[in-house]
Amino acid sequence: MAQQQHNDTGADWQSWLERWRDSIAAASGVAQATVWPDLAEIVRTTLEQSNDEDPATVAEYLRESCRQWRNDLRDALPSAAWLTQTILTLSRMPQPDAPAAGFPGGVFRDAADAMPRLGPLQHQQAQLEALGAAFEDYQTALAGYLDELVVISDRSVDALQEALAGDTDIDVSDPRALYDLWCQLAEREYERHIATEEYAAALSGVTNSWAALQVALQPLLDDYLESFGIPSRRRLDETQAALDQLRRQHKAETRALYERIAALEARLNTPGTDTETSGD
Amino acid sequence: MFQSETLMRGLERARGLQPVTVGVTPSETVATTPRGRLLRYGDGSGPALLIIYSLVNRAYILDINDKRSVIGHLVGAGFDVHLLDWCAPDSMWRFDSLDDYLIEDVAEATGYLTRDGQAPHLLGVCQGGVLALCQAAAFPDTVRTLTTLVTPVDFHTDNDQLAHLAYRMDVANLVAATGNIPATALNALFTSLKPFQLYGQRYLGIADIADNDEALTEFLKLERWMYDSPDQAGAAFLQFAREFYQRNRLLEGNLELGGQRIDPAAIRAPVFNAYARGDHLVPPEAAAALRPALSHDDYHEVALKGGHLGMFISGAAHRDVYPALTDWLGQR
Repeated sequence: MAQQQHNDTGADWQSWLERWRDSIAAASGVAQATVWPDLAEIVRTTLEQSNDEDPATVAEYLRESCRQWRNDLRDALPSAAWLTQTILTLSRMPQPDAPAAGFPGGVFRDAADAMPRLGPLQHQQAQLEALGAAFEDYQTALAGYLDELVVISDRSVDALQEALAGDTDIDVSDPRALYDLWCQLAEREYERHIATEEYAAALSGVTNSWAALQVALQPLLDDYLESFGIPSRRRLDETQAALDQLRRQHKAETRALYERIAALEARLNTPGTDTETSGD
Repeated sequence: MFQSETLMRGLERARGLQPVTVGVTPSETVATTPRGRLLRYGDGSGPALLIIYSLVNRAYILDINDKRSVIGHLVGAGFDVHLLDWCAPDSMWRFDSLDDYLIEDVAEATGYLTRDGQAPHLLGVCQGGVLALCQAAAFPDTVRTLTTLVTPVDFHTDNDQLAHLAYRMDVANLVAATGNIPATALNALFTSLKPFQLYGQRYLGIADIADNDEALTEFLKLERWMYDSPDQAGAAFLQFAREFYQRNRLLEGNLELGGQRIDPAAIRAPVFNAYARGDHLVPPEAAAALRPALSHDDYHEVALKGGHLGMFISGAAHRDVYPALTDWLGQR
């Protein structure tokens, strides 16, 4: 399927995409990085070949093409390696050899361990150390989660190959039939894998580390905003907490007041009751 | 053979049909609670019935069209139907807890609908069913009958995907990071359980209904509902995730809300429990666990073939569940 890649003004989106892709490839230091390989090209080539080849050959080609596409995508995603490299480049620090994948653990922790907390900014230093450690933990967890997604894609592609090799009823020249088959098989493999302890641990890991990163970042942001006299989340939370306490106190007092009124009404309405107040 | 032109035509027609209207049964607001408004459907005659819907989605899925409206069916069966329609939390609600939702909203709504000493029928849906169940357990005299639709009771069954994924989450830290839980995050969690079906295949299916305006309209209504979720009040979300999903306290009988001990065995009202056998959000075992948790035998159960949403919008549900429900209610 050829795709139109021009917007209404006639701008060449393909050229824009290629320039963006090349800039990310340069920042990541990954040779021959193709950030968003053209998956449509893979499908188109597969369809062209399907006219002449048997389903098993087509399936094998599709499998290899998807595997290559997946590896390229994994290497070129704005993931741990790219982010680390970008940060180091921006900070003009000496650039260690970036690994092909995975976070070079301990970058911030090592720097923190080398520096004692001295002077009037010890508290801020501690906050930055905590932020750096949380950032490292998040990147490690994210890489672990991406590994799980790769497992799912591996198994899904294997399932597709197996199905195409065994079921000759499927018309591989029909993109919709092929796509529906892919969705069915991939969904099945996905559901199987997310039921595993490994996946649950990875998902919890990335979620928890993200939350910890936010919690570590928030005090720094709050300090920064407050230094400019701008309302911070900390101050808003304190206000909300105070209002919430006042609301509950008011509700409790109102409830007690109504109960008192009801009790007094009951006394008034009871025949023969002494209605003189007791002065309380 | 798939034709991209058919899909494009379907997309264009779909765009022309938007915005879609939702909620077909006329209603009016008759009261408000701190976090919701009480909607009344119908002319106000018949036994009072209060619907408690989940906090995580909008209730208009129960009234999606003329042919398959749960609310419409109940009104047609002669009940004075009310819905506790939850308001979307704003940042001021982040400290509102499930205790508040139960004591200040559900309890107030049931009190409002108690007439001449006769309590209303209570119908809870999904998480709303959990709240309804808590109301019936904590304040047995305030509930005439209890109906639970696709309501989880045992959150630790083997095939509960949500519980499996949530078990190790540090929800306290998550709420500390976000305040209220964003609707986009919950939507992403739910759709991530079936990503291939919901992010891709569903939209290619527009090609199959490209020339059917009625089917396209229903598609768009459901599409709107799927992504029309409110944020979740932080403290309430933390409580639900931790006390129910992670600690399974409802079934263990050691849950406390609003100063009240919540034990399903304390429920005195007759119970009608309906669940879906193919429900990937509330496994049938999770819902069926209500029966052994009760201490009485006035219990009726319907197991529907299909999924979670099928309980509200499928033909099978409107054929097999709701007529049985209104018959059962009519006898009580």
